[in-house]
Amino acid sequence: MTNTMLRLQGLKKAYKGKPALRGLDLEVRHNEIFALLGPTGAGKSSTIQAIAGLLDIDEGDVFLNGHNVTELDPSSRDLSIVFEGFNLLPMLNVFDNIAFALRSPTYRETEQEITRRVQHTAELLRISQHLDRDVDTLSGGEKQRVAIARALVRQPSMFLLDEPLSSLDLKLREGLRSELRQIHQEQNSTMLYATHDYHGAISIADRIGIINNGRILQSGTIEEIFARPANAFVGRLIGSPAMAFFDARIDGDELAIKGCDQRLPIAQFDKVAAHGTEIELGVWPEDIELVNTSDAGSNPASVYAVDNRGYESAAQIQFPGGVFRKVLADGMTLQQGEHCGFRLPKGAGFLFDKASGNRVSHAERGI
Amino acid sequence: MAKVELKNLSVEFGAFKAVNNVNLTVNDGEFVVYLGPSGCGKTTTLRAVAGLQTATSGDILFDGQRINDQTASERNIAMVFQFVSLYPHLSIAENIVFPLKARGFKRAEIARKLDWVAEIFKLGDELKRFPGALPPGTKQKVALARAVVRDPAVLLLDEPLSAIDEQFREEMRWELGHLQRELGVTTIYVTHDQREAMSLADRIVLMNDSQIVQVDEPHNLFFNPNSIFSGQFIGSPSMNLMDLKPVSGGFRLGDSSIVLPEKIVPDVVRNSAIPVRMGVRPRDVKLVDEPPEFGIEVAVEDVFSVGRERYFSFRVGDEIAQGIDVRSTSTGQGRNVAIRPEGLVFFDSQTGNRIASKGTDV
Repeated sequence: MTNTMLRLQGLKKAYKGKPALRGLDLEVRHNEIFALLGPTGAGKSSTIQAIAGLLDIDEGDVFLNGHNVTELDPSSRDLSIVFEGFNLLPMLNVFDNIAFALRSPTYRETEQEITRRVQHTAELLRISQHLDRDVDTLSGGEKQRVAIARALVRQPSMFLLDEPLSSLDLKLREGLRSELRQIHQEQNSTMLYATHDYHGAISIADRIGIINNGRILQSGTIEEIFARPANAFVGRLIGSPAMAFFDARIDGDELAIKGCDQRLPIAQFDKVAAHGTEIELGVWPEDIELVNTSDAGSNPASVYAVDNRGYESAAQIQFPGGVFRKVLADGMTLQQGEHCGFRLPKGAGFLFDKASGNRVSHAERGI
Repeated sequence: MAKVELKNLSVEFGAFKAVNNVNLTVNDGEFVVYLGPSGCGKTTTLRAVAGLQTATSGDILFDGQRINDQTASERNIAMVFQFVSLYPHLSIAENIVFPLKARGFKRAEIARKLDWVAEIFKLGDELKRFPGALPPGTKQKVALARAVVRDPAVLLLDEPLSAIDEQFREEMRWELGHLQRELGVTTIYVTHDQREAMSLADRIVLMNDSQIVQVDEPHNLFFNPNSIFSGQFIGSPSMNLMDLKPVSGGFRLGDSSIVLPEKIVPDVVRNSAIPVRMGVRPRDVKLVDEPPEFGIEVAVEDVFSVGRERYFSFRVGDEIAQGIDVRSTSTGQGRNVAIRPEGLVFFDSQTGNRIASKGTDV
């Protein structure tokens, strides 16, 4: 048995000539929670539906547990799917909603076994006390638990969750996220979790895949992605605040940065492109130093706006070449309109091609 | 621009008090955010200030002048709603100057004001375009520009960002914070989103059940909640809450067997005759390998690392508590949780009111 639970190879799908998936490749390992992170319209739902067999793909293959299931219909795929909407059956109570699939011809479990499994699943999701209730009388959070319980009770080899929490309010979302992780640990399941929310993704997933325009731009642990972002788009989606971008130009053995006095030695980026090339410099905000305007080597800037977050605050910094945002160091306070300086430390940052967005620096390390 | 005062303001719908005896002063130029769950009375308060809702009793004053009896149009307020309504057949420039034309401003004055807002709102490129062609964030910006172009005494904003896609919402939040301070216009903003309130406000007015619970600067509201409600409503993940039961040598947490050492608890709590509930924010507990000076031994349920941040949960009786270790140094194998005593807050578990200012007195 390989370590791969799910493999997608070259998935293509167009709706009325408009491509939604453009040759999508993806691998999800056994027993991991994998988050598919991308903006609205990136192809997350199409990917999930293709895996579940709910979508006729134009090209490509879906492998589950090493078997090619591309031609199998949804009920033969041993998957459970939870959607953003709850899709509960309104005429049935909570127990019967959860038990529904187990009573289908595919499972044909005894009522005794069904009762045992429904009760166990309900306990996991803390809805045991609601089993007799009508689903219409449940709150949004309770309904979502029932929907998850219904998927869980079948004990499939893999769960697909399509924005399962985005219709819930913040507090419920946080609670359910940590419960999902707990259930995942108890059941040793594999989950693919599609979301547009960076915080939602990193707080649940073992690995993350960044999706845009029907392709996976990069997959890996969040640490791997931070260490080597494959594309400028990845930088724009990851981090809180996201990556800071600077227009730059290669000038001999230096990088000239628009609106900054500071120049960076090109050697730190490896040989990247010819003299005169316009290029995008991306720096993680954590790596940018905010300093006094009088400090040596500082680039003059000012504070555009301040964002209070409780334990910390963040600021949007404006400089002649653009803006970036950064969480302030402990104890540092800034006021809107205040002048400040910033410095890009040697060795920080990545260079991205202006047209494709692909990373061009640090090529020898690969993607 | 004006100072706004609410004195004993109540709004009743039949037997239901939507706003119950609210008192507040909003200073000239201040950015005040009304925050609370739906139905708490925040929007009704805003509508009363706007003149869209009659106050049952109490006074509303702009710069010391009682304006209860003035109509909405006489009050010189500007209001922006959740759903933007721009005139689709007018260009962005025509939309913005519409209120000026309606009031018969001179052409030169209109042109001057349009230049002014277009520059502040960075709308130069959009002025000739039509609303249909703009992304939702930009539409909201145009609505805001139209609201402030005629120098209102007060700017009233009712959940202006909640209908906007998440991608644009954060952008707009930064813009809004910047613009309000740039314009210096007295602003009352209503939201149910604590993140938005923390980010934007000079002061937050936290409401629940038709009454004001706490009025404070964001930082203070976060670190010094006056009640269980304040502590729970602000912050994400939520503040952990557990009951304290006096036992020998300390306090038992909830229905668990975990005992909080006595020395961590301030005198007023130690000697309290009333049942006490303790609150601690996830970032004020830390996973450690060795038993700490201030801490407890727990059953850690789940540890999850993101870079150097470590999210963990532990069981306190039937409840699950959350922790976030920001600069974690532990192996993650330990069963000890260190507590930052300054992060503890104590409440009267019956009234929910705060009973002690800060954690330890050692």
